[in-house]
Amino acid sequence: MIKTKLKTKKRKIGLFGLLFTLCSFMAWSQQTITGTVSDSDGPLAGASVVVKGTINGVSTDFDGNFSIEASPSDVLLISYIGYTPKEIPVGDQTQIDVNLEAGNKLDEVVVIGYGTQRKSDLTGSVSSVSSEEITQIPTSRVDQVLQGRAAGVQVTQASGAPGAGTAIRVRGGNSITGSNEPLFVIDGIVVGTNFNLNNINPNDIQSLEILKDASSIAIYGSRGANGVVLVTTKSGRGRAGKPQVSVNVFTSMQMLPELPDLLTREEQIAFTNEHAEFRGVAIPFPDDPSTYPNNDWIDLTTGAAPIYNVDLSIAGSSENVNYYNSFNYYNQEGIVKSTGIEKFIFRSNLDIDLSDNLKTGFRINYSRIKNENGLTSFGANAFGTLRTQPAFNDDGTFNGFNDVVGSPFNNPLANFELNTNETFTNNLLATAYLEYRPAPGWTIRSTFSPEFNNVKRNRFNSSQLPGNLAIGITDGGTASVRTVAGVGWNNENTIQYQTDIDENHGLTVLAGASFQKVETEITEAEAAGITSDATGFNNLGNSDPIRSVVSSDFSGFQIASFFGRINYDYKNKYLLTLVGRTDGSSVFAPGNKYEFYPSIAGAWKISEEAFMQNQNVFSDLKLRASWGRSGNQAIGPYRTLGVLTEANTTLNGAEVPGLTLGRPSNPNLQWETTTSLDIALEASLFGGRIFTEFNYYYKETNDLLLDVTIPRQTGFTSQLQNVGSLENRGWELLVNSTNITNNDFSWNTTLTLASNKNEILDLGGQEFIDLVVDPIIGSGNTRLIVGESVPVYTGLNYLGTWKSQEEIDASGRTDPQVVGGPHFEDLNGDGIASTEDNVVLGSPFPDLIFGIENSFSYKNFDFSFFFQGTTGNEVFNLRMRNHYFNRGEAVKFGDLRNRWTPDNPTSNIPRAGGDSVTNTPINSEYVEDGSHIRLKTVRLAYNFPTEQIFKGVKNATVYVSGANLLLFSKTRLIEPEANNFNEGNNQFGNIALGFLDANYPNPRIITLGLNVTF
Amino acid sequence: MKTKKIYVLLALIFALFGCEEFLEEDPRAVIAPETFFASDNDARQAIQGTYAILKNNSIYGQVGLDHFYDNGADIIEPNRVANFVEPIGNYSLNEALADVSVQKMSVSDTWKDLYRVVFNSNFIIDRVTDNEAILEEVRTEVIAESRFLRALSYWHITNLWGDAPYYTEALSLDEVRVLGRTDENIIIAGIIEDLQFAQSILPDSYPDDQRGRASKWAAAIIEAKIYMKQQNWQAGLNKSLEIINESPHVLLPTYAEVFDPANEYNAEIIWSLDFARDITGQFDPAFPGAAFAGNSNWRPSMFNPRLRDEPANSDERSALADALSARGEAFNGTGLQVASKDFAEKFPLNDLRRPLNILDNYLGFELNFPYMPKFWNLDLATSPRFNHEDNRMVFRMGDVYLMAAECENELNGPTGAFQYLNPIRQRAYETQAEWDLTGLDQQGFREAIYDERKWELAAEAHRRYDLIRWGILLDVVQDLEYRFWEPAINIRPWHVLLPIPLQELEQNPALLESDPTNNGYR
Repeated sequence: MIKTKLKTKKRKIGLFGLLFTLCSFMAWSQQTITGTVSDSDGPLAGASVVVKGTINGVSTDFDGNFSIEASPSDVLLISYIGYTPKEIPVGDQTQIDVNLEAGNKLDEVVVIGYGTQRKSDLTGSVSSVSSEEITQIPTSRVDQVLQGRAAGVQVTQASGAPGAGTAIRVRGGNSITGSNEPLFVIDGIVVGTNFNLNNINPNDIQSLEILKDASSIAIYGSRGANGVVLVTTKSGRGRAGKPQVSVNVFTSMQMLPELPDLLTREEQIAFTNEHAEFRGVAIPFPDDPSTYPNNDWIDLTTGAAPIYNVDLSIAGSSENVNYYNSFNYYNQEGIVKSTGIEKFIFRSNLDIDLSDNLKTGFRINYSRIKNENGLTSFGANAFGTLRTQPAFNDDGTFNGFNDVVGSPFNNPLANFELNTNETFTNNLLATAYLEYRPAPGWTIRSTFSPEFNNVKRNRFNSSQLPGNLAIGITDGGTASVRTVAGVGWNNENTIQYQTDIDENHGLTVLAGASFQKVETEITEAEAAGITSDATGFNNLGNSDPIRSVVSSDFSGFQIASFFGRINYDYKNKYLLTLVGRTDGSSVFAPGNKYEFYPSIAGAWKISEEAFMQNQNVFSDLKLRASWGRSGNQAIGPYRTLGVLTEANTTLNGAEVPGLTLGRPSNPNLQWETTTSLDIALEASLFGGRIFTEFNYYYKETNDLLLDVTIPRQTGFTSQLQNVGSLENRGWELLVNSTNITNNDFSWNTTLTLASNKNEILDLGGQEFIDLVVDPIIGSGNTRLIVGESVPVYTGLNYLGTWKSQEEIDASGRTDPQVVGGPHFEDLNGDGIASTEDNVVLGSPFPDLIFGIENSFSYKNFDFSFFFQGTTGNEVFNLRMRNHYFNRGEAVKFGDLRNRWTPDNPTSNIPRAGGDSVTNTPINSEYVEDGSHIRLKTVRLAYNFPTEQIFKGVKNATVYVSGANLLLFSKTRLIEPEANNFNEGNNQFGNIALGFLDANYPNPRIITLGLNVTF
Repeated sequence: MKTKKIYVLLALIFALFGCEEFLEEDPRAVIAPETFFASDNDARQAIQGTYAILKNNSIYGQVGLDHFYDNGADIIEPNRVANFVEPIGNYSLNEALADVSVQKMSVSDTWKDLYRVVFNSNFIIDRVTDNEAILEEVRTEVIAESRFLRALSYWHITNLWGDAPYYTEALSLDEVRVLGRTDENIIIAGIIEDLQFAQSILPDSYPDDQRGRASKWAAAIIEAKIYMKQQNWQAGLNKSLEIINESPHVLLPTYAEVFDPANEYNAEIIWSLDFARDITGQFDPAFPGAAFAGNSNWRPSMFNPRLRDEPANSDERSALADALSARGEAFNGTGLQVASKDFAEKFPLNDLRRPLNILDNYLGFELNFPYMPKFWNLDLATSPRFNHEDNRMVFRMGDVYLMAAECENELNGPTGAFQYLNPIRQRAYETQAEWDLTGLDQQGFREAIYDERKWELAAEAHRRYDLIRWGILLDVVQDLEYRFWEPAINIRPWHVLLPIPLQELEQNPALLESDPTNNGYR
C-alpha cells in the first residue's frame, strides 16, 4: 500500500492523477482505516481515498486495497476517474469497503490535447468513440468506425477497394487549396492529415476523440483547423493479476452490392445500330444480335471475396510495470479481382515507474502492408465494356481489339494474368516518454516520437498485352519501381502545474513546446521495351535504355510551436479555459513564419447551482461556449520560392535537359485562419438515462489560399495568393438514451444529427472560379461562386427532348437541334446553349447527416443495428457523358430503353444519335440526388455465460454481423458515397466531392467472429 | 529550491532549438532561379526549356497555331464537328470562346504560352547578361537565341492580335500584369531589332546533335515576312535573296522528298522543331501526369485517318485493317485535319504535289475523306498514335522562293519574278507546258502566287496569314463551302485578328484602353 499526498478536491485528480499513483510522502496519523475499493468487475487499482477537507490521501493498490489514517469525525472521499465519487463518514469503522459505480456520460474521462479531462469539466466540444463501440465493427481502419457515430463528423467511404481511405470533414471544409482532412494524433504523436490509417489496428484502440471547436483544437494551433482526431491505444493499466490474453478472430465474406441498371446485349445492339443509322454511318452490328458475344464484364472481373482477421493481445500490470502487446494479421481480397490487402501489425505499449516521481514508457507500432492495387478499373473495364466485346479470340488467345470503335481493347482478363501492380508499406511509429513530478502539482513530460515510413510500388505491364499485339505494337513491356522513404520526428515537452488556490478556486496551467521535422525522399525508375516477361519489374536494366525514365525528389518541413493552457474553475460551477499557441512553420518565407492562435472558453455547470438541487430531471446540465482561432498552413514546402521546373525537350531525336520558370513565386503567402464560435448545451437527464448534447457553431476562414487567375500576358495562368474567405455554420445533436434497462433486458439508442452549411464569402474580388476537376469534361461544371457552397456543380438545364420541328423553329435557336434530341435551356436567349447559360445544379454537402444506433441486450444476447445517411446532397454522375448522352458505341444506362423514338415521341430521354447533331455539355441530368440511408452495420452476439465456459476463460463472445446490407439511394450508379477524386489524385481533391464514376463498389459484408479473453 | 529546478529544466527544454535556424527551408530538390545560372550548361538548359514551351499544344505542338494559320481558310477542316476548331473553323469566335481550352489549345492558351516564351526569354537575358560564370561567347549566343525566341513570339502575337502588351525586360509579375496594348508598329520595330541581332550572332547551321535549334536563317525568313506584310517589297526581296544565295538551304529536286520522315533535317528545311517518340518534349502536356502516353507528339495523329471513318465501303473495314496491318501501318489517328472540300476539289489533278496533299484512295480502298499524307505517318513502329517522332516543320526554302517571286512581281512586275517561281513549279509538274506560266501580267502573276502558295505550302501554317496580308481573307472565305460548318456566312471583317480573351480583359482592364472594341469583337 502506498501513501499518496493528494489534493482534496475531487476533480483535481482529473488531469494527471491517473498517471501518478506512486509518489510517496509521509502523512500524519490518527486511526488506521483499511478497506477495498471495487466496481462491479472487481477491485479498482489507483482509486483515490482522501480525508475530506484535508490534503491527506492515498490511492488503492493493485488489489484495490487502501489504508489511511483518519479520525471518526472525518469523511472519506473515494473517487476514481469515470466513476461516481462517494463520501463515507468514518464513524467507528476501521474497515470500509466501497463499491463505486461507473459514472454517467458526463463523468467519463476523455482525452484532450496534451492531457485528459472529465467530460463534465470540458469547456470545448469533443466527440468520443469508445473501444466497446470500435470492437462492435469488424474493420481494419479506424476512420470507418467514425462514420455516423460522432455528430458533426462527415465520413465518406470513397471507394470499396481493400484498404481504401475515407474523406473526413469535421464541421465542413475550411480550405479550398489546402487539406480539409482532420489532424490525426496517435498516442500524442502528431502524424498529420494524410497518415495511412491501415498502419493502425483498430483493436488496439482504447478511445477515439474528435476535437471540434476552437477551444479544444487551439492547443494544436495551426494544425487543428480541420478538427483533430486523437487516437489512444490500450495499456495494461488496471489489469492486475495474471496476464490477460485476448483473441479476436473473424472471417468475412464480401459480396457485390446492387449494381446500376444497364442495357442488355439486345437492347445495346439496337441502340448502337440506331445511333449509327441516324448518323448515316455503317451499322456496327448488322447480324442477328444473338450471334454476338454476351459477356457480363462485371461478372468476369468481380466476385465474392473473403476477409480473414486474427488479433492476439497480452496485457497486464505488476507493481512497477504495465504492458499491452498485440499482433494483428489481416487479409482481405477485393470483390474486384486483382485487388487486396494483407497486413501484419505489431504493437507494444509499456509503462514503467522508475521511482516514486519518475516514470517512463513507450508505444511502438510496426506494420507491414501489401496492397494489390488492381489491374483493372471497375468503371472503365467492368462497367464500361460492351457485352458484345469478345474476351478471347477464336484461337483461345486474349482478345485485344474493339471492332466497334476500331481501337485497342484493354482486356482485364489478360491484365490479371500478365501484369503486376502492388505496393508494400513498412511503417514504424513509436514514441518514448519521460515524466517527472518534481513537487506536488508539478508534472514535466517530454516525448520523442520517430516515424519511419517506406513505401515501394512495383508495376509491370506485360509485352504480351493483347491491346498492343492487336495493333502490332511489339516493343516490349513497361515497368516501374517507385519508393517513398519518409523519416520524421516529433518532440513534445510540457510542464503542468495544478493547484487549488483555496476551497473555491482551482487552477491548472500547462505550457509546452513542440518541434517536428519531416523529410520525404522519392525515387522512381521506369523502363520500357522489356521483351521478356520473366523478370518483370525486378530487372529494369533488361529494357530499352533510351526509353528509361528516372526521377527523384526531396521535400521536408519543420514546425516549431509554443503553447499554453490555463484551466480555472470556481466552485466547480464556472469553468474557464484559455489557450494560446504560437506556430512557426518552415514553409513560409521569413517574416511570415509565425502565427499566434488564441482561444477562450467558458462553461457553467447549471446543475451545480443551488436552485437546481430541488429538481430531479437534470442530473447534469451544462452550458458552454468557446471562441478561438486556428490555422491551416495549406501549402506544401517551397511554395513561397521561385522555382525552375523541368522542361526537357529533344534535339535531333534525343532528349536534352531543359528548365523553365515554374509557378510564379509569392513570398507573401500566409496561414489560412479560421475563427470559430461554439455554443453548446449538455444535459444528463433522469438519473443519466438520457444524455444529450446540442452544439451550434460558426466558423469563418480568412486569408484563404487561392490560385488566383492573373493576366496571362505574364506567361502564367495563376498565382497562389491569400485572398478569399468562407464560412461554415451548423448544429449538431447527440442523444444517448437508455430506453429500457432491467436485469435481463436493455435497450439503448444513440442518435446523431448534424447539419452544416458552407458558403463562400469572398474569392479575392472574383465572382466565381471555374475548377477543372477532370480534363475530359473540362471547365464550367464545377465552380466556386460567392454565396454558394464549396464547390457547386454547374451546367445547363436539361429540359427533355425536342418534341417537334415546330418547337425547334419557334425557339429561335441557332445552334443545331434535332427532334428527339436533347433540349438544353438557352437561359440568356442568345440562340445558343453555352456555358453562359449555366446554372447552379447542386452541391455535395448534405443538409443533414444522421446516424442512429439501437442496441439491445437480452440475457446473454446482444443485438444492434446502425443506420446512417444524408439528405439534401447532390452527386455528379461522370458516367452520364458516355453512358447516357454521348457515344453510340458505349454501354448505356437502362433508362435509355425508354428513349425518344418516332414510336415513343413523348419520351424525355434523348434519341440515339441526337448527340451527333447537338452539343451535349454538362447539364442537370448529370447531377443526381445523393440522399441515402444505409444499414451500415447490424450485429448479433452471444456472450457465453461465465460458468459455462472453460476454466480460465474470463469471457467469450461469438457474433455475426453485417455491413452495408441495405442501401436506399437515388443515383443511377446506386452507390452515392463514392468519390472519383481525393487529395492524393486530384488538384482539387480536397473540395471536389461527390463525383461518381462507377467507382469500386462498397461490398456487402457478412462477418462471423469470436472474441475470447483468458 | 524545487521551483528553481523546474526553471532550469524549462530553460533546457526551450533552448533545445534555435528556432530561426530550425525553420529554414531546405529546398534540396528545388532549382532556384536566384542561383541557377552558374555555368554554360545552365544557360543552355534554360534555352532548351524555352524550346519546350514552343512545343506546347498551344503553339507548335498538336495543332495550336494551325487553328489560326490554317483552319478557317481554304485548305484544312476537320472531317466531323470538332469543338476545338469550331470557333475559328466556323467563325463563331468571340471573347468568351477564346477562353475555352481543349487539350490546352485555345486563343488564351496560345496567348499565354507566347507570353511565357517572352517572360522566360527576358529572364534568361537578364540572368546571362554580364554573368561572369558563363563564357562570353556562350553568353552572346544564349542572348541571341533568347532574342530570336522573343521575336518569334512577338511576331505571332502581332500577327494574331495586332497591338499587344510589349515588354523586353525581366519585369516583375506585378509590373507585367497591368501593361496595356502597345502599338503594333513599335513591337514590330523591336522584333526586327531582335531578329537582326540574332542573325548577327547565330550560326548558319548546327552540328547534327543540335539539330532542331533555330539558325540565323530562321530569323531571316521572319524578317523577310515582316517586310512583305509591310509591303516593303524591296527589303523583303533583299532578305529573301539573302536566304536563297547565302544560306546552306536549297530546294530539293522533288516535293515528296521534303516530307520524307526518314530525312527530317533535309536541306530545304530552314527550321523544324524536333519531336521524338516516347519523349514528351513539351513543357505543359495536355494530360498532366507523365504516365499518359498521349502527352507526346499528336500532330500527325490529327492528320492520320481513323479506321471507324473508313473506308467508303464500311463492309471492307476489316480488309482495310488487315491490309494496313500487313504493312505495319494503321489508321489510328483522329482525322480531324483533312483537306477541306474546296481545296480537294480545286487542286489540279496533274500537279505532282497533289498525292501528297490529297489522298482519297489508299491501298485500293476508296476513302470517305481526302487526307493530307505529307503530314500523316501511319507507321506503327516509328510513329505510333499520339506518340509520333515526326518533327514540326516551321520554315522551308520553297516558301522563300515564292516570297522572292512575290516581292519581285510587286516591285517590277512578273518578268524577273519567274526565275523564283519556276523552280517551284518545275518540280511540281511533269512538263514545261504544265509548269510554265510565262505571259502573265502583274495581276495575273499575283493571283498565280495566291494559288501557288496554297498548293505548295498547304497546311504549313501560312495560309490565313497570307490571305490576311493580301487583304482577301473575307473574299476567299465567303466563297467557301465547308462540309458542315458555315464560315462563309459567319465571317466578319474583324476576324482577321483574334479577340483578347475575356478573362484577360477582366483581369487587366488596361487592355481595353487603346481599343475599347477589342479588335472589333465588342
